[in-house]
Amino acid sequence: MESQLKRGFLELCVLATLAHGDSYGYQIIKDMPRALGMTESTLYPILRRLKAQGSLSENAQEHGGRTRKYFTITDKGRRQLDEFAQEEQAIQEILAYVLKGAAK
Amino acid sequence: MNKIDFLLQLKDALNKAHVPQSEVHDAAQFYAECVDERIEEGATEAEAVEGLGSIDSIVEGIVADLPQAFRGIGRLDSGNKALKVILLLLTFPVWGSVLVFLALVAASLVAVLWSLLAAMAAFWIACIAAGLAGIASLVHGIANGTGQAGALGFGIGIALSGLAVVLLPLMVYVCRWLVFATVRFNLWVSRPFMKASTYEKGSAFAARMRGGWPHVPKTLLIVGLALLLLGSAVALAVLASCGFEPWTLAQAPSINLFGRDVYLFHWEQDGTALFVGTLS
Repeated sequence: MESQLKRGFLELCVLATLAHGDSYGYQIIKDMPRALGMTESTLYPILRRLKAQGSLSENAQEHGGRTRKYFTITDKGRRQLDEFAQEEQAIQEILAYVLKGAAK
Repeated sequence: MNKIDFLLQLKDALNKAHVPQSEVHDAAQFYAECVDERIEEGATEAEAVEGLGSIDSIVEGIVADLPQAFRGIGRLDSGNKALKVILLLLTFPVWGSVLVFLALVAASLVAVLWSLLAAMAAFWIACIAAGLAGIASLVHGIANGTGQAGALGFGIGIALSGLAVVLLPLMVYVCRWLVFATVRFNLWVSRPFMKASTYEKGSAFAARMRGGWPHVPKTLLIVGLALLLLGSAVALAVLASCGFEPWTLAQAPSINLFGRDVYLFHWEQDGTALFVGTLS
């Protein structure tokens, strides 16, 4: 359950990063908060999964004599972010409940 | 570890973990890009590779995320060897003839390419040898009182040697391109039967051969050009001093050689002789 939660949360973080504009693997990692501890080996499966579920699309572009793959958030990806934002109140309540339990 | 070794090891590890080929290809492409990005930011190749973490953890992340069905396909890929052998034997008449045809086409193309290379090398060696023959011609001419003939041979020989030196970068470039084309063609033909790691090594070698224009010291090119100009000047000066007139060549008679008329122009004056041959 723990890893499921983390996976879902990291997926949303990647989508949130791409909501600011198209980006590529290494730049996505640099743009995300360091506290997340995102690395290439964590990001790659997430990108694959988001692509498979249609939340982002990719396109290769020429950069300095090599190919760089850019990722773009799709409408479906934006809807996922919106849905999460709408649940903010519920998430805050759950978080407060968990933290309260941890403090005891 | 450098980038190529890292990618080879990553692919091998993914193959051993029965990851489907399309996934192996995508993962290798992603991690190659990551290495390039780190290098672009100032890291060395070794640092860039090290920063990606261990290959085991990368493979673990990819395998853990693969749907069960995909892992099943991966296993089928490497499947039952006995079944594969029987299938191969039963379908031999089809793939065997195609394979022989492809092998013959490949061998022919490689032979044509390398014949071109051999012809170029022969021309180049002949030009260099002409220089040595020119010096011998000059020595012989002086010793036998036929200085003009010796000087003409010397001029032409030196000019050809100069030409060979000037053409050296082009020769090297064409040779490397021929090696590149041969390797690429062989890789293309053999890919279905080749291990991924062998294919990668072959591709890397071909890319090094493609390299670009070879570096040749400027001094060498200047010496070559000087020889070419000096030799041409000496040859023209000798011909001019003998009163050579090109248009008088047209008056020479023809001979029949292998059923074709060959106009063999022979011009001689004061011990200096010039032969020019053309086909009708």
